[in-house]
Amino acid sequence: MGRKLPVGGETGITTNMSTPVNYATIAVAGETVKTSLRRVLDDSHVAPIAIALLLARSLFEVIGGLAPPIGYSILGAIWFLILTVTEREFPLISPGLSGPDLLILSESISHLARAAEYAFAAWLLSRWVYGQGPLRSLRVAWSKRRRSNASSFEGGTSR
Amino acid sequence: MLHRLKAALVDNYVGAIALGYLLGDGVEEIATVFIAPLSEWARLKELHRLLPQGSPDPGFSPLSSLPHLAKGVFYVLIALALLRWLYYPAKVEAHARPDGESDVI
Repeated sequence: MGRKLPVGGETGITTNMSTPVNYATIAVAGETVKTSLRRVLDDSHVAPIAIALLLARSLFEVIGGLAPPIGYSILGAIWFLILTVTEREFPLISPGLSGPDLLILSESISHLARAAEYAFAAWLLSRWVYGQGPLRSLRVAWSKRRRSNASSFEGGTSR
Repeated sequence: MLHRLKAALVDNYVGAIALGYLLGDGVEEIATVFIAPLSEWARLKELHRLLPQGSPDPGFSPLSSLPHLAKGVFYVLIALALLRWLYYPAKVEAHARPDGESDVI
């Protein structure tokens, strides 16, 4: 009944919902080994999913933070061109930031701060579980998953 | 019944996705603990500039990060409890013999 999770290195973890054991025992060495939380987080795909979600949220926040100022600037440039063409002279531009500019800027900064928070959280989690950066750890998890899929497929066809 | 629910959650990766979401939220809240006082201070500083002269200068207060810390710890604890319920007990598969044969113990 136990579902086999990807195996890596010398030892691999197998979840076994029917066997009531809390610790795994290596028979030859005869020592009791507590399964590592990081290992279970990795093998159960919880950590890669969490890291991917945090990175995706960070990306969305970056897009949400950059879109309004860029859009506002493009609109301002179009408006400037229209005024220049219709009035046949350069319109007066007030120096400094106006009220709407400040509003958009503060909104954009709060989005970017949240993006930094998400990216920092992804980095923290990935450093804790994998000991490396989020993108590299996602790549490792993905290649591990592909390997385990390939081996289970080969096992299925060889029978 | 509970065993079947557990098996379904593990086999369809629904449990992993939900746990990943919860754990991600928890870690994000814990990361906010470090950033929240800074952003709070910047916001108060901006507000202080708009207020009339003589009003007290906002200080750097780490208290603003306490709710985030509590929320983060709560989320992470729930995620770990659910992880324990779903994926434990786990057993180790060891390459016990020198000829490379592996045993599930």
